Amino acid sequence: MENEIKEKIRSFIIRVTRKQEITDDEDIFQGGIVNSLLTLQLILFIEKNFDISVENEEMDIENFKTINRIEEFISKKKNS
Amino acid sequence: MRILKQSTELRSLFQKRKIASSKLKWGVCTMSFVEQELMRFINEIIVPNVDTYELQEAIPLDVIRAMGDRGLLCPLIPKNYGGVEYDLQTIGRINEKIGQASASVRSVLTVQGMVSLAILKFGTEAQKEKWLPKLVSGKVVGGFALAEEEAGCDSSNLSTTYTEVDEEYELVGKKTWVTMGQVASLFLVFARSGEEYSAFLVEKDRIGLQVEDVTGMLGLRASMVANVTLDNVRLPKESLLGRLGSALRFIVPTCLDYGRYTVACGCVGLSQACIDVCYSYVEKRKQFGTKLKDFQMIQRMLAKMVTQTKASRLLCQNAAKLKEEEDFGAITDTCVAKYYASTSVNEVASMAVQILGANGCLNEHPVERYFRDAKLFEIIEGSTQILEIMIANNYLG
Repeated sequence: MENEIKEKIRSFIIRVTRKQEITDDEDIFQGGIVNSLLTLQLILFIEKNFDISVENEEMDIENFKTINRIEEFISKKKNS
Repeated sequence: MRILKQSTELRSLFQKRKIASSKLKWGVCTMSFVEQELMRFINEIIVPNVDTYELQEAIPLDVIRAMGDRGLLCPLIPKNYGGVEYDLQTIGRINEKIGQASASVRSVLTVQGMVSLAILKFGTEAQKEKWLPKLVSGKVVGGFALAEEEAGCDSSNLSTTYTEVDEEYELVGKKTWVTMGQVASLFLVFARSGEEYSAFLVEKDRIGLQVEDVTGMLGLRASMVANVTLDNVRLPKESLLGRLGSALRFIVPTCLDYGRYTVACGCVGLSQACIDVCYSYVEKRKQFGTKLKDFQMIQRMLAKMVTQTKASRLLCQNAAKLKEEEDFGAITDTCVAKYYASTSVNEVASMAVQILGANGCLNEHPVERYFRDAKLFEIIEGSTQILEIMIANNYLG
């Protein structure tokens, strides 16, 4: 399940950024991989594909900065 | 007073029939009740006064409140906060129709919509309850204070700062090009603290806040633009909107996405206005004993105008559809719609002036205003060049 989430996220980021690859711990905001437009697209993608709602207080870049963090965030939401 | 009385009566009628009309589609043949009321409002209140607004570089507050009475100012806001909660296709049509009558009046819809959307999406329950009903009704006019002298398209270069002082925030800086800033009583101000960008709700009467009117604009002359100076403005903690540091990544793009959509729809309205004037003109005007409409080179221009306008409208409808499906491609496609509609309306307005010839250069004919207003659309909510970069870099295939 964990890997499935990570692969979905990875393929989305690779698709929208046209990067060849991205590691689980790579900061997608630090390197300018993800711009502000893509941040919104990422949130929409997560909400729709994992059937969760990202609340106002969760709109924190720390939750979305790496594939690992995104996976943790989604898993936590799913299990809550 | 007449307007307010009339608007109360219409609102009552409007609300009674809104549910019954919800199944009707917007269209040429089956004009829904929402559209009928909208057209009545536009034709009775906006159209007869457009020239006065332009000349005075102002829209009366009564007109803004009359739009509020009809639910037009913040149509996205849910009913529990006093809104009408229209879908995006309907919101697009409202922006198109009002934009067809007056691009300046339509600009209220973008700003009020962006400020209310930011509060709806990122505000606390207390902020929503305090501000949303007032923004919906027009009792409070909002101002979107993002741009600065050295930070137009580059919003990461803000110089307005905030610091925490004695359990309060203190804002220092100057904001420019705040549409409706002359009459706004609530500003959504973006500021930075080092590399952290945050958003604040700032009332006009805060000590240290000064508003300076901007006049002499090329277009959108009645959009009551102002510069806003924040001279050590103190704010309580509850003025923070959203999380600290969430402005640039979440709040600004969310607001601008809505702004781009409504501006794109406004461009469609302005294009349609150009077409309507031209069709009426070519029918009457004769040269060399022949009506202009029978000249093929005129027909060529009309064909281009019609085609480009229809294409713009379809791009707006596509953006709305994707948004309602929560498709992540919606954001880029909204940029595409705004980019095409705003560049296109400049070509359409230019052809309109060309068709009217010398008459089109006179302010006695509306195309002179359309031509000036069109240029502003290539600059606001993402300039043409910024949108080109965004579209090229975010194309998803």
